Amino acid sequence: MRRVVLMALAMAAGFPAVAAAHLSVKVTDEEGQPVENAVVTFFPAGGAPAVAPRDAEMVQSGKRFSPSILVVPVGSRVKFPNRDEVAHHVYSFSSPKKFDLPLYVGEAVAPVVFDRPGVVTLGCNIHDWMVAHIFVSATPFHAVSGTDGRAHLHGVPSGGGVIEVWHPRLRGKPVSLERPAEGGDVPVAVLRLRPEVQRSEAPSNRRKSGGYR
Amino acid sequence: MTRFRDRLLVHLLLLLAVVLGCNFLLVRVVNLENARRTIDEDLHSAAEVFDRVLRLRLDKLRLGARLMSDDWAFRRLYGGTEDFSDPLQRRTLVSGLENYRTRMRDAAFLQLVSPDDELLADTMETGQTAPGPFAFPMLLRAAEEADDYTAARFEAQPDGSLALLVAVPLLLPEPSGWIVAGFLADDQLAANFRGMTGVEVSFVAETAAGPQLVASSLEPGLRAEMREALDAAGSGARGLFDLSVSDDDTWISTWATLPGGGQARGLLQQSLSRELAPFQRLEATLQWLTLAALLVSALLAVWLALGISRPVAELARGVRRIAEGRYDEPVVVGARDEMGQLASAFNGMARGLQERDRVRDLLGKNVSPEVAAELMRRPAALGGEEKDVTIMFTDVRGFTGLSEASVPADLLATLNGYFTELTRVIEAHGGIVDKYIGDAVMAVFGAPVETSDHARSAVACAAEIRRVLRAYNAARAEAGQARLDTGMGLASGKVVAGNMGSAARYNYTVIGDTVNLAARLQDETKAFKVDCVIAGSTAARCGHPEWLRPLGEVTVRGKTEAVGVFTLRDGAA
Repeated sequence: MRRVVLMALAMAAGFPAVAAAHLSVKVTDEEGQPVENAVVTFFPAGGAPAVAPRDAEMVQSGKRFSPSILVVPVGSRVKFPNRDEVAHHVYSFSSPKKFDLPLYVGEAVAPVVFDRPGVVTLGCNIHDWMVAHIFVSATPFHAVSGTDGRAHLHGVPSGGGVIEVWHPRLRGKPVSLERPAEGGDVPVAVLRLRPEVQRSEAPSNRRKSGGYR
Repeated sequence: MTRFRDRLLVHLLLLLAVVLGCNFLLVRVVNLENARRTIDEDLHSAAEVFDRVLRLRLDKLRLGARLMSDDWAFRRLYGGTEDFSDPLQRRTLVSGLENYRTRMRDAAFLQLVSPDDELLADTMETGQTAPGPFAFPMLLRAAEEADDYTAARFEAQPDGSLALLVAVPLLLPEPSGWIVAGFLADDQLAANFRGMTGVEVSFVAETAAGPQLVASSLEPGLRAEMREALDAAGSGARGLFDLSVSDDDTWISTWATLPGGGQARGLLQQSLSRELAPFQRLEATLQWLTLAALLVSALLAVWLALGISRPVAELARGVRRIAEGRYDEPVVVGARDEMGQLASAFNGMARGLQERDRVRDLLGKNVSPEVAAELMRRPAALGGEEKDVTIMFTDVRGFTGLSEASVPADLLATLNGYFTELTRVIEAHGGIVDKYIGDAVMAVFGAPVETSDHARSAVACAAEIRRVLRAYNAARAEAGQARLDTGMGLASGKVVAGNMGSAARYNYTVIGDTVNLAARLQDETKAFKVDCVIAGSTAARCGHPEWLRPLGEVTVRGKTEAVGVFTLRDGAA
């Protein structure tokens, strides 16, 4: 069942095809509610330009990953600084990048290079509730939706192309939308999401009240 | 059924049989109710235990699978498997699964399922080389909807067995597949539950063909019958219901829902006949006791009846003896109870009757029977009443000479013989001997029993005495004994008849002028030279003038008026 409603329209209708432009995409769930933290990428019809790798950080702080979603171009190097007073064991069994960083603290650990596109799900082996995703993008045009479900892509060339939308709770493969060459409304991507896995966070020793969240 | 003893026996036994029968029935009903209540309680507590233990096992299984899912070694084993179709990787995965199954102990099998519902590995698989579709996707859909992302269901396995399956997500750290753990609802599990709860436990799968008994703690011989009973009963029953596998074997049953539901239910049962068995022994004992009680009661009733009927029969015999006038044999009743008191009173009564008869007899000998009867009849008191009677006086002529010539004892014997003859004749004519006065006899006709023909009777009596004495004297003359010639005086009229004397001692007698006249007329027989002088008053009342011959008139001593007198003709009366 893939009830995808697609209505794409270039916002900058009438602009020259090569001119850099702005692309907004709206992401909702099947009930029409805006979906936050969806990664929207755009592949121009003429082929995506080469991406420039960069350095990024996936911080562990307060026994949480920050940010929960990190989008990096292919080939980027990501550091995993641990700013907690306990060690973490960061791992991934995702096929674009399988790795694990056994128990460490501080920033001394070597950065990890993400050289294949795709989604890498991160976990901490000793803290089950710590979950984060690194989206390794093969295109420079990407954005993450906000609380209003809107993702704003900048510097997108005008003209047709394919919009892809991914979310951590997405069932199945990323949703693809065709962006027509000429104008139109804001494209809306409707995602079929699975329920969130309830994860209990272990109580902090510093917290007097204790108990589970 | 005329004998009292038999009636008493029958009544007592009937009453006892009714009481004992009611008792027996009551005990039976109470036992049945009791057995049902006990089974009801047993089944309810068994259902609770059944539910709790299953939930505990389920939780244990879920926890085990959950821990396994979060286990680093397992994450590496699963996350490191690149190709689930590769024989080596597959063998390694299954072997690792088997290791975790051993750790979990409670799990009969473990399975790994991909997010796309593909069965990746199974500890029960034999020689499979590639992933196949997972048979119970509904379980996974239920897990996805659940808060804790897990689900449990009873599912019928392809081989027909029933298993409780638990699905927990494989978290890497996002859900990347499923661990499915399960244990079989088999005979062993059912037997374990029976051991815990004491009731029979069966697992029943709901199939299109109706309820199917998949596993059970019931003896194998009983299962086929139970299946038939289940088929007949269907699965719609709520609460307790009876399943009869044979005429005398009813199983009180109840459905128990299984945690996780699914297409299976638990059937908890207890045999009514098994529960009743101890009571049946009691009933058998009660039967024997009932019989024994009836027997003992019969004996007691016979004994009791004899205790009453024997004295009654003895009293009846006593009554018959009394009726026959035999007072000598007292009624003998050994008992000191009411029957004994009755017998004692009866004997007292017999003695009283005997005494009265003796008194009456004695009275009859001392006085005339009629007087005696009158004395018996009347209240014993002084006083009399006026009656019309005929008085007869007799006297032996020449008695003085006779008494001088005889020894007193001989004289008395002679007189007694003479009086006996006279008395017999007088009484034969309805008269009574009022008294013997030396050699004289005073007789009364018409008292105490009033008669209208007392004069005729008296005259006839006199004629008879004349005849009797003739024969008597003829016999005496022949024997060379002196004659006892007799004079008779008869008079009729009013006299006073009654008890005369003192309060302590009195006689029934008559007094009056008529008495004196009769005595005087007797004296006159010498003057008239006849044996009998009859007053006119008697002649008038006699009604037989042909019997009488007039003698003329006489003025008796002490009287001023002359009275007409008569004598008897020969051949009179």
